[in-house]
Order: sequence, then structure tokens, then C-alpha cells
Amino acid sequence: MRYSLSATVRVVGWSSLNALMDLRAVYSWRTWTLGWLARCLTQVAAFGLLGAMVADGATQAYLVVGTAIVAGLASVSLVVQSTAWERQAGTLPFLVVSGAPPFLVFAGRGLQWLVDGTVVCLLALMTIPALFGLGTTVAAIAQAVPLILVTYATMYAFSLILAAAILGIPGARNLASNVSTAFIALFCGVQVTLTFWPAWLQQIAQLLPLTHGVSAIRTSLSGRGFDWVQFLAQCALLGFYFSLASAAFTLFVRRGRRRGSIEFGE
Amino acid sequence: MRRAFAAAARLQFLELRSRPDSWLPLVTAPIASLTVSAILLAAERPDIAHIAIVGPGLMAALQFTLFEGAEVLSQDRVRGVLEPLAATPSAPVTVVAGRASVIALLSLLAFAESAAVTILVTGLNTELHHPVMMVVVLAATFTALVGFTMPLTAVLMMRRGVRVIQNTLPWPLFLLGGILVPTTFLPDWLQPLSGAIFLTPVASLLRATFEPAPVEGAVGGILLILAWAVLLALVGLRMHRRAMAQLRTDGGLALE
Repeated sequence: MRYSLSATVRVVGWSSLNALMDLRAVYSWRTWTLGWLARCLTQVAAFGLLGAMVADGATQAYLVVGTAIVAGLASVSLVVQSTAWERQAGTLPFLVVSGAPPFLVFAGRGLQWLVDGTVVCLLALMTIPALFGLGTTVAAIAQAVPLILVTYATMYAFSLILAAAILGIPGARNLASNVSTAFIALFCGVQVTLTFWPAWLQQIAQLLPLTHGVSAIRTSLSGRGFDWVQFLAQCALLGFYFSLASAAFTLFVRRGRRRGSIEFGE
Repeated sequence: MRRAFAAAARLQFLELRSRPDSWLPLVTAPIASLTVSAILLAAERPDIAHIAIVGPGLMAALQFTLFEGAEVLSQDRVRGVLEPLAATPSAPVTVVAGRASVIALLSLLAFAESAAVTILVTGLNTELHHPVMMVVVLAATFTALVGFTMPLTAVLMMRRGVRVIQNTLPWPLFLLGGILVPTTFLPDWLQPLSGAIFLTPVASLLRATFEPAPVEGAVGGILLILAWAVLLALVGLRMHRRAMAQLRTDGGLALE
């Protein structure tokens, strides 16, 4: 079924508004800033100290940037959990029977995490490198913003695939989300250089959701300009993972309707 | 009291078996160790590979205690268990202590996992020079983790934001407690705060067990951990009594 652009925007818009209300129910400005943000900043600072302890300034800068990206990922991947919460809350059947394509609804319902992760990452990049005397200019951070957005959007799409898969077993939502994110961060050159891993793993990493974007973010932050090649590669992966996520939700709904397994509670 | 304690411990074990998600910190501990080991090897510092055991091991132990300790209370509240619990002749704090003991004991598995991964990744560079001291420190750590759960659950009884506390506390504690990196690397103005974190002597002593030199200040450090355990338990006990008295008065046991 084809869906018009205006209808798509309307569905995603309402879903996003709903998502924003969800976020406000969990956090106030005060608890988000003094709680979640402070937690993320201390995580980045801890790895900055690890860099100071084990090696030179370059390694420290690598760890600070990588951990800032990891800190934001913790929010982005929460879409796996929040999608499973629909099942606990009993709202899943209503979303499935609505006229809109389920993928659009679910993609919009978790957008607050994408925004949250991007803001956390940017604030970490603006503050923690300065604490360690690692020079990062505002212009370099500004140049990295579209790269961070595309990279996190790809991870968001990947998490949506996982969310569709985990809807059948919502009790494993935290495990699935955290373990997959940790492994992806490990092998995509986020905190550990890509060249550390064997050649075959480096090849696989080229298809994982973070590798190209993280490389381009580092290039921008170090003042070496905008890496268009890596950016375009990341955009291609974004399209690929979103297509897979859409197919995964269609499959989930089709199978759920056939088996009658879309329940009103966990 | 002993029967209530044992029954609570058994209940906690059964609950953990039935909820795969609750094992999350113990599942991610080896991945964290793998990450830190890889960072150390990439920086050509296999000489301090033990950091990949102590740091992620202790981080996972605290996270498991914190998450599961808070989850227990949250679940009890949602299921409406708190009200009948308050009406039983046993002190609710006995039940909390019984459950916290199982959680803290199992949390120590994280060290075995982290050690296995680190040794696998870095080879046999990581040598434990003081195994007996390690066991004694871990035993003291167990008591401190049980003690930590007591005031934590008392605070959580009085407020709704369980998730916010679960998510906020770990990293500031890891940073200030010198869990991943010794506190000497903290800025001078932050170092005094480390003395107020019960994990600081734990991390310091655990790292020292991997050094060939005799562990300096071992007895003092272990006594300090035990003192923290007693202090936290006493404060927790008092907080539990006050919280329960207030919730009975306000009728606020079922907040959700």
C-alpha cells in the first residue's frame, strides 16, 4: 500500500508528539540534566581519564570522542525497550489496527530517543574535551552535527529491526538492546581502533551501522574537513537499515495477525 | 527472623531465574572487559591488563546490585506486595536484607567473567599475586554491597523515580570511586569526594592484589570496607523504619 507524503508526515508527527510526552513522563528538565546528562558526562570523563592513564593525548582524544558517541547510543537504542513497552501497556493492538503502516507509527514513537542521544553526544563533545585540554572547535562540532544525526539515525533503524524481532519476546528487551549495542560499538571503531581487529572482522564492520559515520565524525572533529565518502556510505547504510526495519515490522504484523499473537499485555 | 531472611533469599533466587533481563549487568560485564582489554592492548599497555578485570567486574557488581535491588521494590509495588508485607509480623527490612544478600552474592560472578575474558584476550600477562587477599576483599565487598542496598531501597520506597536513580547513580560512583581509573588521576578538587564512596577502598585493594609488591594498608582497607558495610546497613535500617512508618501513616505503599 502506498502512503502519501502528507499522511506520512502526519502519522510520524503525531507519533513523535506522543514520544515527546513519554519522555516528559520519565524525565523533568531537572532530572534529565542532573541525572541522565550528568551520568553520560561522567562516563565520557571516566574514559578520558583511562586515556590519560594508559597512553598519549591522541589515544585520550580517541576515547573521549568514542565514549561521547557511546553515551548517546545508550539513548538511541532505547527504542527497543520503548517499543516493547507498548505490549506491556496494552497499546500494541491499537497501533497495529490503525490505518497507518505500523512501521511509520513505531518509527515515530521512538524519535525522542534519537533526539535525546544526539543532544547528549553534542553536549559531551562540547564539554569533556575542553576539560582535558583537547582542542575541539565549535565549527568542527557544528560540521559533525549532520554526521552524528545520520550515524545515530542508522543505529536507530538497526534498533527498530531489533525492536520488531523482540516484540514477540518482550522480556528480553534490555538484554537484546544492550548486548547488541555493546558489540556494535566494540567492532565499529568507536572506543577501539578498527585496525585492532582481524581483517575479516574489519570487513564485516563496513556493513555495521556505525563504522563509516564514526570515522567521518572523527575527521570533522579533528579539523580535517567533511568526509563526503564516509558520509555517503553512511547514508546508503541508513537507507538499507530503514528498509530492513520496515520489512521487519510488516512481517511482525502479518505473522501476529495470522497467529493471533498480538496481545493486550505481556 | 532467620526464616523470613531465608525465605526472602530463596524468593529472590527464584525471581532471578524467571527474569532473563535481570542478568543484564552480568551479561554485559564480559563485553566491557573485552572493550577495556582491547583499549589496553591497542595502547600497548598489557602490563596493566588487570584494570580490565577490576573495573568492569566491580562496575557490573554494583550495577547488578543497584538494578536488581531497585527492581525488586518496583515489582513489589506494582504487584501490590508491599501492603501485605507491611502487615506481616516479620520486619520488612529482614526481607530486603535476605533478597539483597542473594543479589550481592551473585553480583560477584562478574569478577570471574571479567577475569576469564581478560585472560583470554591478553594471554597470561595478568597474574594474581595475592589470591587470598582477593577472596577476603571480595567477601568484604559482598557485605558492603548488601549494606548499600539497604538505604537505596529505603529511598526508593519514598519516591517514584526508580529508573532515574538506577540510570544516574552508576557512572558518578564509578568515576569518584576510582573503579576504572585510580582516584589519583582525578583532579585535586575532586579527590576528597572519593573518600565518601564506599567502593574506593574496594577498587584500590583489588588492583593491589595483582601487583607483586605486598598489599599496602590491607588490614586498614578491609576494616574500612566493613565499616562502610555496617554504617550503610545501620543507616538503611533506620531509613527503612522511618519510611515504613510514614508510608503506613500516609497510605502511600502503593504509589503506582
